[in-house]
Amino acid sequence: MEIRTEKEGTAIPDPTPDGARQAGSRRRPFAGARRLPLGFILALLAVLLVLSMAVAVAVGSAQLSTADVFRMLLNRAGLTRFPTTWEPHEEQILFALRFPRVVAAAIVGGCLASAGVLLQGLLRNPMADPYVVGASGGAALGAVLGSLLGSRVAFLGFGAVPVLAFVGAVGAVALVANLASVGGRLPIVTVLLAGFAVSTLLGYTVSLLLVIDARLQLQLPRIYGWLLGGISVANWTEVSLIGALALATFCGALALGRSLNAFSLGEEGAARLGVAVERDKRWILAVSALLTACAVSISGLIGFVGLVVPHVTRLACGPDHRRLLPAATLAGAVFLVLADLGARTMVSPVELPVGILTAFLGGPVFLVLLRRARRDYQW
Amino acid sequence: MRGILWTAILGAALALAGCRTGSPNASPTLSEAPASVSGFPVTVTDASRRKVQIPRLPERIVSLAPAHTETLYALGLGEKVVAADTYSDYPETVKAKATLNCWPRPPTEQIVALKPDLVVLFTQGDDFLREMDAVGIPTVKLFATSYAETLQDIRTLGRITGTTATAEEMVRTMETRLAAVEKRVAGAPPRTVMLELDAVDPARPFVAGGKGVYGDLLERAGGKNLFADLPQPAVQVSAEQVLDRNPEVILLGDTKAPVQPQQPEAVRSRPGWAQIRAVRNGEVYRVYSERITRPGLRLVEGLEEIARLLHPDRFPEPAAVAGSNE
Repeated sequence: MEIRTEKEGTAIPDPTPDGARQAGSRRRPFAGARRLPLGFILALLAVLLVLSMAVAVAVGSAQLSTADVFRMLLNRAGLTRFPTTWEPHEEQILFALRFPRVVAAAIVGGCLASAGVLLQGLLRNPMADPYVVGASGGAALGAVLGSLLGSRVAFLGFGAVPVLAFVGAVGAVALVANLASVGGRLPIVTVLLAGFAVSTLLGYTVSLLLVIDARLQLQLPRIYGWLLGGISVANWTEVSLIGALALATFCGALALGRSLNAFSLGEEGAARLGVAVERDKRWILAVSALLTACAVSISGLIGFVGLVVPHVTRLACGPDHRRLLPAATLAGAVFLVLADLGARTMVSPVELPVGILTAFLGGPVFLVLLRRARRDYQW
Repeated sequence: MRGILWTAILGAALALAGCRTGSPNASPTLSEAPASVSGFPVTVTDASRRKVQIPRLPERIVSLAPAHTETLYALGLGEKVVAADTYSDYPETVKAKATLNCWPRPPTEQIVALKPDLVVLFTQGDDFLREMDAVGIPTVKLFATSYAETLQDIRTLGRITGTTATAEEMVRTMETRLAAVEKRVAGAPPRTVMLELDAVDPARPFVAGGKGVYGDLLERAGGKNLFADLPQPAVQVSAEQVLDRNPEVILLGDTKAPVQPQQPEAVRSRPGWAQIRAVRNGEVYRVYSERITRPGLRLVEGLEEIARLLHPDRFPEPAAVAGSNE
């Protein structure tokens, strides 16, 4: 694994290199996008999100007529009173199953992408993703313990798996932060290594449980599916609670954009710019842990979104975190809504784990962009 | 890190998946004319398409599958069974035997140390078979995927244990009872039925697909399997599809699941499921999963139970074997 030391960070002299680096822009994908006003980019992505969600609601495993879907939606919104020309079960498919899932996909995608931006910025490591500091191991252990507890435990309508996956993700990151803390400081290299060790330990704890507990062995296909990721929400309460928590956390993340930019100068440089380095590092860790936990609690471990979407967005609109964070969040939402649409429909009536789709969709796109960007890619 | 987590967990998961699906599901065929009870050595071709020779009448048998354990006991071989896998729990007396945890791999050394002269198994993969062949312990894999293959496997078990006559009698009984069920449901309009095997995530339940023992049972019992078009024995489907295909009857094979058992009353509260015909008409039933998922002797009880649930009008008298809905 490549770990950038703090000194290497000084190789990037400009924390907000919006204007200075226009040379070679012919080879850069989305050349010119960096000069677009943020408002325009966000509006464009928001329109894309609405469009992709509309398609994802209209299309699914069961075939509903598109006209019926929009009539049902308009009726439900109280805007129209179309006569009921559809079966009652079709309305259930739309409102009880498909619609909440599409909204959940958008939330999860946004959470993972923004957590990826935060951790890549904080750790100054291009391999960083939302799971890099222990969240995946903690969440997996939580989910497995949750499936043992089963429906005996419920919290605000959530089952044991989402609750314990959430707790596990946040708990593991807190543990990593604690272990990595040296004399009140939080050295980045230590955070990365402690994250690696804790995640590995927790992961093998899960393996151990699977080997020694006969009840879990029978659950293997399901646990395997959870590890590959799949969006699953029981009801609107779950969606709105996770959505509200994610939104609040995301607002906190927006306030950290300036610090993240300063971190690209290395910690000394950031301190010289007046950033409270240690305090903000902890905030970034906490905020990214919460965002990741929101995502994994309702979706399992979906890979690639939190790694690739920040990079692609960075290629498109530059490394300024104040632009990158909101743009990547919307892009992540669009990406996961479309990936989940594929997961639901490609091999219907069976579902693909959405993690397969994120890798197959995201991987090639990312590689093409990376090759076109070549050396111009700064992050 | 995600990568490490995957190495840790998925490797194991894939190993199991390999065990489950790795071998051809061919029905074992007898490669010789039936031998007399003492007619050892016996040679059979098993589900792994290996020719296995059992040199003499087995006295120490290891069973790595609940279905085979049940059949061995029914053949009167309980005394000879020296160990069974963790899931073998019927009949009760088997619990007193040595228990082998076969996941992620069967404990080869333990098995060899038991000095068995016959090992029978269901799902384990080729690597285990190669090891057993190397140490020279006759190991027979029997992997039935239908009612008919189950009968074949019982015959084979009889042949390799010197209990051909008892096995033939068991098979005849199972054939007679099958014929009786088929006669009862003959002419009745087949009812669309979904057999649920796991619904911990009700957005994507595991159900019976078209290939496999349970799918076969549903059709023989006068049902039309809701997911007969899928080429797996058990398969995870979208809840959207369950709602859209709208089964007349839902059978819950997961009411005794070790993790999150389901109940008929609770199916109504799954998102959207209240609209399904089976739920609206109160046709969500429990079935004994051990009777339908284990291709052994009790399969016929599972068949009768399902037929009775699908076509109660064809079975006016009370069940001889207690069902799980009473």
